[in-house]
Amino acid sequence: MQRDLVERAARGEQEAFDALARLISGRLFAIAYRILRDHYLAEDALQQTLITIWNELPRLRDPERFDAWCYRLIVRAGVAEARRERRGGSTIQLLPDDADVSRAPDQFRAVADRDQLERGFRRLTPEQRAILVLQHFAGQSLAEIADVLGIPVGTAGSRLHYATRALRAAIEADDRSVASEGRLA
Amino acid sequence: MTALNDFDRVLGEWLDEGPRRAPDRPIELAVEHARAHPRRRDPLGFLRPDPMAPRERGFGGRPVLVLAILGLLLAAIVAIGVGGPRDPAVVPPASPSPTTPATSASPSRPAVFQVDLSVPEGQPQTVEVIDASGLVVEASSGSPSGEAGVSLPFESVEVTNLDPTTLQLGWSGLPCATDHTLDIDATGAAMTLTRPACTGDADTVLGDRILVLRLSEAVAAADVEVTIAP
Repeated sequence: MQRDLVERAARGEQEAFDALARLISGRLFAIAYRILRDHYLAEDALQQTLITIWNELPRLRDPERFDAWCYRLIVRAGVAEARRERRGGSTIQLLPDDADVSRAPDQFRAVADRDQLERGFRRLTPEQRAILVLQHFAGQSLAEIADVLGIPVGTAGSRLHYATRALRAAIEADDRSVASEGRLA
Repeated sequence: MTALNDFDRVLGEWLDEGPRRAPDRPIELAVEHARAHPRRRDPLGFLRPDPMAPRERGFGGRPVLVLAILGLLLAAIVAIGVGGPRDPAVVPPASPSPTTPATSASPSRPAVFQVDLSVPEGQPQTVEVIDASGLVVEASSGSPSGEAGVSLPFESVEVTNLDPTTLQLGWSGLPCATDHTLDIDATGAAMTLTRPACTGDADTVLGDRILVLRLSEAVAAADVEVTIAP
């Protein structure tokens, strides 16, 4: 059904585009929301993506690639919205290369604290958030993520590794700041 | 390992929370846009690149375009060889500007720009820009803020538009001497910043790096993806 809608929308049938937009918007909005953590920014990213789909769909040679293309567009729009939002300063947390994240096995029990995860996630770059969302929410494999982002599989693996590490580092930093605030109080 | 699996599981569960249904407003606005902009027949559509064409296939899998360009190049070579005016002796400039291309842009010979980055402190940082797109007119260093700490990412490159035809690429790096390479592919939308392991004193204090690319046509920063390679 989707393939038929894609082909008809590519030929310029507006009713098909209308149906297609309603069919795919839930998935795309869910991804945008999880990257941006903001309802209104996610709406803007979705709208931009749908308009790009209408404008550029005839260029897509293989309708089977429609889903991957849509994911690429929503990730791109989400990252662009996040950059606009963050302009004026970003915070990156890094672990040194030799950091041993396994030496504190109980450290991430506290991750059950949703607020802490939220704060840590917001400190990531938009690209890091996107790759984590693609894997842990959209359930995509490394090969699929690489396809969506238009990068080699090895690069996707490396980015995922660094994104996970950055999130852990952000949560660790949050832990430390909460602990020091506790001592001060 | 258990901790790692727990972390992945908790992250997955946390991401799973949240809306899954799209609001109507953006859908209706997009449908309205489609109605206001009905698609017209595009006679040159077959020449336009497939947005999901594999990157390694230059020109987005457009063999017709490649053939057309090769034909034009051949015609130009023949025209110059047969009846073209002979150039007077051209004296190369004694010291080329660091921001002008070292070689001319063509599909087979990308333009090369050498840029010495301005850094608030630390050892020299250079970028060799290799542009296969032919879009780059000038490459120069931006001015990072002199404040302590970094405002730019280390694991990725932040791309912004200073104006429609000027892109600013920003990242952070270690202060030791680093010779970067920025490869821009034929589409101009994919760039790879190679950042080799730096030599000399490797402090752990990061510094911002800013590269400004002036282009011959408008390019939206959101359409550009820059990958960092070691």
